[in-house]
Amino acid sequence: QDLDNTSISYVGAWSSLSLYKNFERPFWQEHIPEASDGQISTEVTTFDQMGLGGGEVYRLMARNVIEVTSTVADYAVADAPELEGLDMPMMAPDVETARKIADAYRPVLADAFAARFNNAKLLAIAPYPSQVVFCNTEIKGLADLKGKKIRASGRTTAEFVQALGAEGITLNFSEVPGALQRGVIDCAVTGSLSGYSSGWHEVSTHLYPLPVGGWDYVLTAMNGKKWASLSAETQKWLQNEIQTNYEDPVWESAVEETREGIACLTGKGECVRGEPGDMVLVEATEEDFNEVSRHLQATLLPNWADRVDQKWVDRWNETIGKVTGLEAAK
Amino acid sequence: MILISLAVLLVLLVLSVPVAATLIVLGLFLDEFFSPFPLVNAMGDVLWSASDSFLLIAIPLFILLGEILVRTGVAKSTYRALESWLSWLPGGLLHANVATATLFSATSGSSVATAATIGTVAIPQGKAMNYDPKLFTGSIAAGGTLGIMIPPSINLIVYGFLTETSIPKLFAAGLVPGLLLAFLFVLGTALICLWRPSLGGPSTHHTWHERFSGLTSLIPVLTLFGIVVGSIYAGWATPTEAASLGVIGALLIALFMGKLSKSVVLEALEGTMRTTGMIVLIIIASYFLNFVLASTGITRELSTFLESAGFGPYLTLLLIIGLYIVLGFFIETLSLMVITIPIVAPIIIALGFDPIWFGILLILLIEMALITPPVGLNLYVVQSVRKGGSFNDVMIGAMPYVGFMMLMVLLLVLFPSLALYLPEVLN
Amino acid sequence: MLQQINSWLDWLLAGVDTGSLWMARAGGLLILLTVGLVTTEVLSRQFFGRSGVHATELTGYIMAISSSWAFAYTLMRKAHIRIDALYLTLPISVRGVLDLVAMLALALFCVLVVGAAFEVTLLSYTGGARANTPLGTPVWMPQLLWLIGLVWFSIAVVLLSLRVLFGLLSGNIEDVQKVAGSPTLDEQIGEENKEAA
Ligand code: NA
Ligand code: NA
Repeated sequence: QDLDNTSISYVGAWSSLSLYKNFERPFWQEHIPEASDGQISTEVTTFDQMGLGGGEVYRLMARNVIEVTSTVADYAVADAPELEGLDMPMMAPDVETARKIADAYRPVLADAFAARFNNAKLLAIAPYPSQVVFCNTEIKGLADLKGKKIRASGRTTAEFVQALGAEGITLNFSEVPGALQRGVIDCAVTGSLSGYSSGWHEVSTHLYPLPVGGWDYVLTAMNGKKWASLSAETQKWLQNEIQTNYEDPVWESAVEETREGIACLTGKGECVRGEPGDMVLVEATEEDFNEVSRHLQATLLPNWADRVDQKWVDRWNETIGKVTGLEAAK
Repeated sequence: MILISLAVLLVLLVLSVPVAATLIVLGLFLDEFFSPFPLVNAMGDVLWSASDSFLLIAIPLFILLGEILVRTGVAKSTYRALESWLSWLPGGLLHANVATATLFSATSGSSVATAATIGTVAIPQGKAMNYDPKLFTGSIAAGGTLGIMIPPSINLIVYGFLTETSIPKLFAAGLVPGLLLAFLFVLGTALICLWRPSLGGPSTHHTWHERFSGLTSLIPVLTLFGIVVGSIYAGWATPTEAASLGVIGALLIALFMGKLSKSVVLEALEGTMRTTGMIVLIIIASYFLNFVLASTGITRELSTFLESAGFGPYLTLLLIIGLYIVLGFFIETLSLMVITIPIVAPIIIALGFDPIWFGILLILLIEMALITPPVGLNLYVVQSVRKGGSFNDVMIGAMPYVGFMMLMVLLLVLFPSLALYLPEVLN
Repeated sequence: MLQQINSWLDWLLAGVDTGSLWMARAGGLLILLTVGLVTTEVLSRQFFGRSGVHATELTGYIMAISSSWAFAYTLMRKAHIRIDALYLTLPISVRGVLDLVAMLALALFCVLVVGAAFEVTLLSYTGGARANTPLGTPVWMPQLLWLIGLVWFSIAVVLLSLRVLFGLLSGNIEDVQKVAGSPTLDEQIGEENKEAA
């Protein structure tokens, strides 16, 4: 193969999370230079190691400060509300649906990136483990969240929680475990495995295992000029490598990580990461799903539709709408 | 590249260019000569991210709390009371500086706020009694650093957040090392003043009656401690929210003492803003510098070096301690933590060290960085509070305390249970 | 001619001084407002089980705004830290030049920072950026208030720089010391005057 001789500098997402440690870093730091026979060299860091919060990296990429970067789509919705359509509470109850949604919406996201971030090229969509609910009080289902004090960071999650009749509490992420333990809040939302590694099972009792906080998709994109500077062959090669050696493995591991996260938190099933917790696993019912569809349709999707142009609403209906059977309208 | 940046930094600082401007100019210089990307394009975003910070707000809140205590006379009477118990020791008032700082640390989560409060009260006393300014200001700068070791502590919250470690456990772990360090300060100060009495001041003696009757003036500070720490442990407030409750508490105390007036509040606010403006300008400038350092790969070189060197656990630990001491000379502490913890903590934990223990060790190193020149926020704060006198005094006066901190580092490495015992018992 | 310019600048600087004091006071009131907000939040959560005022999001903005409003006040009180170890040992004329260098460095700082902050604010405005929080604040609003503080700081820095420059040109080193010299010297001079009197 005839690859360009070039270098790529990559700014990844949270350095402490397994996505970076097990996938982003090995892929960009080792795999790309090796697979390209040294034609493409890379430099890898993360936004937290640069002292950034993660919401500004696409903007910096658009201004030629960063070449390739990944961050949680939700962090960047201030600049590009189109991204928000990808990740609605419980819209994708399992990994398979989540991937179907991601693949369906990919062309729309690609256009949004190009439009919002100076012709940036969308390279990958990968999930963080599903954002589940930890409560330090007894719940039997989604309906029991009513009246609870729930820490929800993103706008759609907060809207959803409010639609359920719960109180959305805004609290800095770092203060959540202490706040749960001492009853400042009743429940909080985070990824199952990251909840386990930060010891949330020690400060909460009940686990609602469905993605009330969505999937926190991590999107990778490349600076438009950089992308245009690559030969067609290199572009094709890179896209293929990203898909087969980064995206696919992350999605495959998401199934396993979701299972493992629940096993480690509840003690039901095998947990090789350490001492399992003994949280009560709350089963989701058919009623829960009906309730969710109702709120998505009645509250969250219309709210989102109001934040973007009609064009994006139409495209959402043509893609994610087809997969989920939901419909967005202003 | 590292040497060149250090040289540029030192030249600008020695030329008495303001610290904040120095940091930005250095960032630009590195961007211009060492970065393939136009990093200056990122300045607006980086500065806004650094400024729009929920965590930073605790700094003005704790400073305001201290300012109110100063203007209502609470800080002074607390200082007097502690002085009556401790000033018989060789060094006199120096011990009151450390003891008052220790007590205020229990109500303040910020070292600069603690140093500003103690400085405002103590410096006039020291001047009136003709103390040598060096050790006097040094003891205030060093005593103030206890603010982040003794709970509550903003920096421990930052550490807990970045490493996913339990913040209540970190708070519990900081208490014993914080008190022990305060004790080392007192002991060390007494020894220095035995050796060179001119560095301290006259030992003064107070009757037991004076001492015990003075204890009542500790009530306001202890009440505040109850409000700030109590509200955290009772589950009413998070550690950062507790700072606000502390300000309300201080205002109520002022009201109760009949000292609350428009001019008191206004003066307290003006003092708060003056110190906050100074601190924040340096902090945001240093965020930009750190962004440049990370982008140009210095930080990455460091982590590759530490990971690939393959030294044993204790040698690596020694290396990391050395690294923090050196970086601490030049880099502002909050940004130093944000930038290094994601790199260093995983390495340390992989070597088998306890993350809670390392958190406390790191805070100790951060305390050291606060009082080492040329970039040391606590030195700056004390200098700005005393409104005059050369910066050299504070710099030199703080040096012995750096030594005591080194001793504390050694103790903490030899006896990890100093930090780990309390959180285990409380669990 | 130079004297004329100097007295104009002094007049302007007196205005800047007053303005800065009021900006800082306004920033201080914002801090007090935070205290009120957070306390309301804590109480409303404790007694009504709800987030009353979304204090977390607002306090971040207040931090940015109030501190930028304080920068000029800090400058006028000579409280931005300079390391004067070497400075104090130099003859007065060299000190004057170093004061000018210090002011010019701050002016460079301001040009860069204000330019960058202006761009960020403009982008937030034209892009219609709204924070991804329950409040969904349009980001340009807090950014504009933040920018105002930085612009005011720049005005103060530029006027002071000019004053130092013209002070040096007209050979009035004492004036330079008074407006921009190290605060250490102010105190020494103050004490000498006291002794003389
Ligand atoms: Na403290
Ligand atoms: Na230092």
